[in-house]
Amino acid sequence: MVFVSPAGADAETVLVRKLPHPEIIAEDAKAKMLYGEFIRRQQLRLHPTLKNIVVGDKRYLFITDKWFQELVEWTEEFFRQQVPELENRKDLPVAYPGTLSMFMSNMANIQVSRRYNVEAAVLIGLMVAENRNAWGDTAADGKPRQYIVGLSRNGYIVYDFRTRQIVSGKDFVNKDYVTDIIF
Amino acid sequence: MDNCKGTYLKRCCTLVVTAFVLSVFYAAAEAVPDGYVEVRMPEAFVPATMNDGSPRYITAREIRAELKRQSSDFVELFWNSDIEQFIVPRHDWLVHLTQYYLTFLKSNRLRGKAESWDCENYSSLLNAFATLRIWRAGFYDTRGAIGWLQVDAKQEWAGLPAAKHALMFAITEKGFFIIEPQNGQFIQLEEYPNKKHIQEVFLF
Repeated sequence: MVFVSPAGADAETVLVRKLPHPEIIAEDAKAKMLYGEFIRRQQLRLHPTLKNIVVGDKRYLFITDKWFQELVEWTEEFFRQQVPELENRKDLPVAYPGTLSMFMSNMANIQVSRRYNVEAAVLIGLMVAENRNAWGDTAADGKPRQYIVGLSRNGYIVYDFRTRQIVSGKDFVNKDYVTDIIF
Repeated sequence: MDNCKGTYLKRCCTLVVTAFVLSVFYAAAEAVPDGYVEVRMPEAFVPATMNDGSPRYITAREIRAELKRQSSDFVELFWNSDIEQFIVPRHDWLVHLTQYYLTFLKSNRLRGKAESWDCENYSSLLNAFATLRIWRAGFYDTRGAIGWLQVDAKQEWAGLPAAKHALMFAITEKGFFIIEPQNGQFIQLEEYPNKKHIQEVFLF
């Protein structure tokens, strides 16, 4: 008999919501994708303040904004199920952004590898930008701030995991102050 | 005699029916709700300790220095500069984590697939699981001295061919190790045949 204990106890086995169904963008009946090198050059062109960019030499898929949002929700729900204390803490763990982007990216790629016959990966990573313009309730302070970034239907999508705000890359208020991107 | 047989048969039937009812009951009780899966989680994190029993840590600077010493192709170590030091896991915990991961991969039927699920994914997901267990143990202002790296392997190791590859690495109380997450093989960095060709290293 498999023992299932409630979340919050030191559970050996837990019930986890199934991963959201993948949604990738197609054009002319083929998956829309970009090469890593193209993305690297594109980002350097788009962000003159960019100092570091790390992106693999793979082909990368465009995903829907909806699926990106679902991946965010699934991953953060999973994290809080595994570490219930996250909900009570004032500050998130210092390794939260990197772990969130890595987990989201890997869960997305698990779904793609299972459901689609494509040799390409989902592109989700970390971005650092100077917080020079206020975004929603987040006041500008000029300090570097980390975000989750993904390649989606309309280009790039940016997620602030502290405030749970999401916006397209072209509407991101601090897009002119991006300094680092790691995919 | 016929009465004994009849009673015996009745008792057998009763037992069979009871067993059937119980099995249905337990099956229902164990049934996983629609839309959910059962996931077994790794063992609780155990840090390596100093002589006074406090957790052991290492800095990015120390990790970088060792990598630079071992690899002539070393490019850079990428890490979150907000993290001042990295907690060192106990070696046997890391071995158990790796074995857990192999079971997780097998039970989820995860197999390599060009570009969408490759060596980078094998390495980085195991990293992320380790971090979750570290948080669960209450260490929020650090992450594990566990990461992944890219190597331009010139020699075969752990059953994988000489080619560009991604692997895990970790520092435990027994030293600096390279780990192949696809089959759980460990080797000390000193002994790793491709150590001179380690390029980019990630502590994310």
